This record gives sequence, C-alpha cells and structure tokens, in this order.
Amino acid sequence: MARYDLMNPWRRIAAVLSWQLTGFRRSGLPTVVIVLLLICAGIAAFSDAVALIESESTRAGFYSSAIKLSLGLLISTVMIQATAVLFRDRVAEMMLASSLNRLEMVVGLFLSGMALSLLLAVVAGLVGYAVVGNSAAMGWSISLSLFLMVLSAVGVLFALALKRMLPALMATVAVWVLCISMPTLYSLISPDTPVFDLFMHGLTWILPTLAQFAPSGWLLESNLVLDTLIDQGLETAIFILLLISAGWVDLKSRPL
Amino acid sequence: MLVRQSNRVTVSWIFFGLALGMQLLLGSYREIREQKRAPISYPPVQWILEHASLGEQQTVARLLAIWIQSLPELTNQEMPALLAWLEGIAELNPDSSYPLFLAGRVLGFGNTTQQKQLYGFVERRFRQNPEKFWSELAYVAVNARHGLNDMVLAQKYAHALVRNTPPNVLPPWARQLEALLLTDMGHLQQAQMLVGAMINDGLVTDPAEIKYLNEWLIWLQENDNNNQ
Repeated sequence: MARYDLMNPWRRIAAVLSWQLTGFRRSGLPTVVIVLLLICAGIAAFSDAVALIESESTRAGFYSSAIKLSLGLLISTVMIQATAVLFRDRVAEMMLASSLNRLEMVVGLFLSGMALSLLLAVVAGLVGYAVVGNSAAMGWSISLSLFLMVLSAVGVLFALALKRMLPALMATVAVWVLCISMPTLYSLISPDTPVFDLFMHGLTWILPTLAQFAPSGWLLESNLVLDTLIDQGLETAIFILLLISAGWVDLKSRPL
Repeated sequence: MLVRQSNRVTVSWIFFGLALGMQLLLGSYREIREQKRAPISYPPVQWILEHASLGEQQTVARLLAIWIQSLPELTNQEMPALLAWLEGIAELNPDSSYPLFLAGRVLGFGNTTQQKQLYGFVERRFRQNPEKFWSELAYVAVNARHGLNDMVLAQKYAHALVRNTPPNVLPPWARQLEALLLTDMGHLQQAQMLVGAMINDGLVTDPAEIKYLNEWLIWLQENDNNNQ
C-alpha cells in the first residue's frame, strides 16, 4: 500500500488504474479476448463462405457486429466484476484509508475501463484488418473504442451504485438497449403531455447514440469519417464526465 | 467401504448411460418429426425486427437473407410469408441487393407462379431505388423471357428499366435490352452477354458474385447441351 501514499493526485489515480489493469491480466482476460476474437473471425469467414453476393460487406458486417456485441458484453461484465470485487474485498477501503480520496478513486476506476477499451479496440482493429484486409479501418477501431468506453463507464457506475454483479449487469444491458432504441421508442410512443415529452426528449439528449458507433461500413471505408468521429468522441467524453460525477456523488454520500 | 464406493460408481455410470440413451432417442424422434416441415411463419412487425437487431440492422438483414437462401422448396401458400420476409430484410438494409438477388435469381426456381410473385417484388424494390437496383431488374427481364417464356412480362421489365433509371446510370447495352429480348438469341447467349457486360463495366466486382455467375452460365450451357 506504500505506493498509494503519493502526493501527486495523478499518480494516485494511476495507482488505481494499474491495480485494475493487473487484476484484468491475472483474471485470464487476455485468453478470453483471444478466444472471442478467433470466434468472431471464424463467424466472419463462415458468413463469407455462405454469402452468394456481397461477400466482402457480409464478412465485414458479421465481424463488426460479433465484435461489438461480444466485446461490449465482456467489458461490461469485467468492469462490473472488478469494481464489485474491489469493494467486496475491502481493497477500496484500504486505498481510501491512505491518501487517496474518493474522486481519485472514481476517476481511476473509470480510467481503467477506458484504458481497457482502447486496448481491446486496437486488438479488434488489427484482427479486423486481417479479416477484411482494409488498412484504413482505423476509423472503425476508434469508434469501437468509444463504444466500449461508454459501456465500461456505465458498468462501473452501476457496480458502484448497486454493488452486486447481476443487478449491475442487467442495468448496464438495459441502458445499452435504451441507447440503441431510444430514437425509435420516442417516435413510437409520441408523448402526448409536455412533461412526458420533455422527459423523453431529455433521455434522447443524454443517452449516447450507440447504434451509430463503429458501423460495419467503416471497416470497408477507405476514408476516415472525421466529422462523425469527432461528434462521437465529444458525445462519449461528455457522457463519461456525467457518469464520473454521478459515481463521485454516490461514493461521497455513503459510508464505507 | 471400497466395494460400496465401486457400486456407487457403477450406478452412476448406468444412470449416465440411461440419460444418454434417452437423449439419443429423443434426438432421433425429433429428426423424424422435423421431416414434416412446418410452413414458414410471417416476420414480426418491422419495428420489432429493428429493435431485436440491437442496432445491427445490416448484419441481421444479411443473416436473415442467408436463412432465406437456405430454405427448402416452398409451397405457393407460403409465398406471402416469404415475400413479407424479403420486404422486411430490404427495409432493414435498404442499400443491399441481396433480397432482390434471392427473389430474382435463386428462389422459386421452376415454379412459374412463385417466380412471377418474386419478380414483382424485384420490380417494386427497383422502383424505389432504380439507380441501385437496375441490374437486378435486367436479370429478371432476361429470366422472364427465357425461364418463364413470358415475353410480355420481360418487355414490361425492360421497359420499366429504361424509363425509370437515369440515362447517365444505364450503360448503352442495358438501354437496348428491350430490343435485345425480341431477338432470336437463346437464354445462354443473352445471359453470357449480360454477365460479360456487367463484369466489363465493373458493375460486378464481388468474388462470390462472379463465382455464382460463372456457375449459372455453366448450368445454362449444360442445359443447352442437353436440349440439343
């Protein structure tokens, strides 16, 4: 614990980050990721073999969707478990008993999710290059990392607030589905009272448009869709900032 | 003590064997039962299809298209459900020609009633986006002329192709399709011309589609030889 007694807040945050990343490595996550990527590449190759036309876009589409769904679920589960274990095993208490404060703890937890997202997206991008054969799939990888960052952050927040694995995972998946279906839901429900309309509108403004992140077409795209990427980056940054503040409020308001 | 334990192990093996036997019996019964195929059901409403795809509409559309492609021969009563599925797939991924390709070149083969309905679907989708789908209607026109021996229908499609597709999109040979269908050329010759022109003009670049077209031409060639 000696390394948490540091004066610099950034180094204390880095200590939480490194604790989490070491935990991921020890939990056998790299093997799970390799197996998942191989399965996704296999699904893509199979789809290519059975498609009678549009084989390239079918391969790219199957790879992209399989990766998004599997890594999305994986990162949510991993982040929820890691955060829940941190509090269950009283490691968080020990950290907070040293010079680490609650905001630093929350920032460290969210940053570890973002670091893991970045790592996973880079590996998925490299495999994507091997599967689809397009070196300009960088835009897709960046967008995928943003997608994973959003899910990891939602997972961390629910793990902090609900403390238990299953309810937190269910809540994360619910938010994921809501992010995807909110625009359609809004047009289907067509709110009739101004308050309800404002509430629904507010939700569509708050929730990131996850369905538009890492579209499979970008795996075949030769040009980087920079405008959309900047929009997605901004959307992700502001949403994660909101979740960090919510996590801080939650952690501050409860005794450990 | 040891004897009792070995008895327990034997009992557990017998139990496992019985359970495995029951599983195999059930599996074989299921196979016999499934030989009587249930008719395909209608797709769910479009918004459910969109939500169920969790934002991956294009992939789900391709997955459904591959499922449709693998279906065995359907009865005429199942056609409305099949057409509803094709419409649903086309709505999920409006830029893909896959459902039109299935309707115009793969499904309903050898059944005039079914093929006419499927060609109608291709024409409907073509009218929504002629720039994108004109080549599918060109195939359908040639198939209607030779596969169905329906010159009126073939001419109708060729006419619709020329009238609705912007002139800058349509290559010169496609503009002559209506006249070409009236010539004495056989199915093989017209198909060869169509495929050759598509490949030469760079309209077909996908390796899977080129492979499919080659197989189609070989099949027509064999059919032609058998008829002679």
